[in-house]
Amino acid sequence: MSTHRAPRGRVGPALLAAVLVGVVLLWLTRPVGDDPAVVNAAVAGEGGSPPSPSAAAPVVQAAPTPTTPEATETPGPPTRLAIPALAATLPVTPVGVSEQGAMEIPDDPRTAGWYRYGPGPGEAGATVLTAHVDSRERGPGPLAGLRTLDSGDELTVTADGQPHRYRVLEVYTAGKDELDLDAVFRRDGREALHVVTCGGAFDAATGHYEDNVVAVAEPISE
Amino acid sequence: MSVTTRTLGATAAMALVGLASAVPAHAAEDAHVSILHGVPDATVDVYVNGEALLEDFEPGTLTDPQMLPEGEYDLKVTAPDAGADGDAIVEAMDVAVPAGANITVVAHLDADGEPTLTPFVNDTSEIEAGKARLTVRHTAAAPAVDVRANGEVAFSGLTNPNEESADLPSGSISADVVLAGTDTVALGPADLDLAEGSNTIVYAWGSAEDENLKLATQSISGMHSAPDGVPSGDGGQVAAADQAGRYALVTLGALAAGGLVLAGSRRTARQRS
Repeated sequence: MSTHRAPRGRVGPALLAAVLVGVVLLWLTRPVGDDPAVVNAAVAGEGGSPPSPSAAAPVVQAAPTPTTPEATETPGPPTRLAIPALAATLPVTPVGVSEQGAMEIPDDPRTAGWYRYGPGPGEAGATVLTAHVDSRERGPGPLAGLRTLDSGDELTVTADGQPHRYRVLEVYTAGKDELDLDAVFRRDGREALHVVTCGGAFDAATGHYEDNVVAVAEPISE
Repeated sequence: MSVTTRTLGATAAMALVGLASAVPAHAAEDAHVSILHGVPDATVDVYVNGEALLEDFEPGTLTDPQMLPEGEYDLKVTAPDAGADGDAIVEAMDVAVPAGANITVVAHLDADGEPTLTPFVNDTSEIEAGKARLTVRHTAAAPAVDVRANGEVAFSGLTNPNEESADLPSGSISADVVLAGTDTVALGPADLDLAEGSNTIVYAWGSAEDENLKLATQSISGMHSAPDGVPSGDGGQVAAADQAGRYALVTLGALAAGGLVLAGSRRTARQRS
């Protein structure tokens, strides 16, 4: 009896330690979004930006004109997104809204969609580019690495054959229910680039990710 | 048969600025008021509260929206240079302009061909992402009509001075106006660009009897909204890879911790024995 007690006495604490450490590690590595308030302030252009000469200047906004007799001159649609830090270049196609009311996204994760109802490079507001993080048929795409971008990394969007360079300010993860979509898709305010994909846990029942990953970038003044 | 979108001449625009600055400013509460001249063959002057607002205002002209404080306004349309006390072609007393409203006042013919003034409230409520609002207004001396979009009846049985509105997928459509219940085209077709997030308002004006029916359009933008979401991944491989990595880490960590404790306790046991 006593010969068995000793090893059992040793195995017990070992199991306990394993379980404890396992639980702690599970908790530490759980997929977690950033503070939605911080994310939404950043995508709304209200924070996260180091003061630059243009940003520091008082923003004098003309009174919104409710009528547009003629559509204003719009730059050509973006055609290319280059992310040197990920060694990735994605062709960009204009997209709209699905029948379900969500942003349309190209099927191929290696192609990005530009939200064509919103601003383009050089215009006030946020240019929104999105690609699937992965797809059932085609597997992971280049934006699987979006969350690994660091502030300061450069992005280049080509529109009308002209490169528009941006600098990443922050990369955020936010629950889809918590993300302020009006801020992500804002059509006025400071010029910005929002590169959006999915992240977090995958809900196999719905076939969707639970979070969005948003890289907020500002134009680099030439 | 043409879509008229002429804007106002310099004289009239200055007169409008004069009016707007003559009244106290409540910028946050001001109403947007546009005026459309839809009475054929009559160049007119328009007076508001006895002050000249528009001079030599030509048929088919739509003014830019003016910011006006809420209140009641007396509107009077006269022959050119008739003066504030001149005979009215048509007038409307105590037209209510609510704070923050977006209104288009239309001088037009009623169904019997008599000039009249009709204030329409423009729907500037939010529009779903990807959609555009189309509003049609019957302001012509003409019977009931149907309005067709791309050959399909979109609004039926519309009569003077009424309006119909619907939110449609944005994009270009070909619209025409037919006598209600028939294929007899009264107006059009005209190509309309229904811009996303905007309200395109189409007026039928003029007189069927005098064969001078025309269309005028007004566009009000800025009612866009964001899409419902960005469902940018349906594979799950990235999450699966994350999970695999996570469980591997957790397993390794747990095994290491258990192993360490076991080794430690063995050593202790050996020392005791």
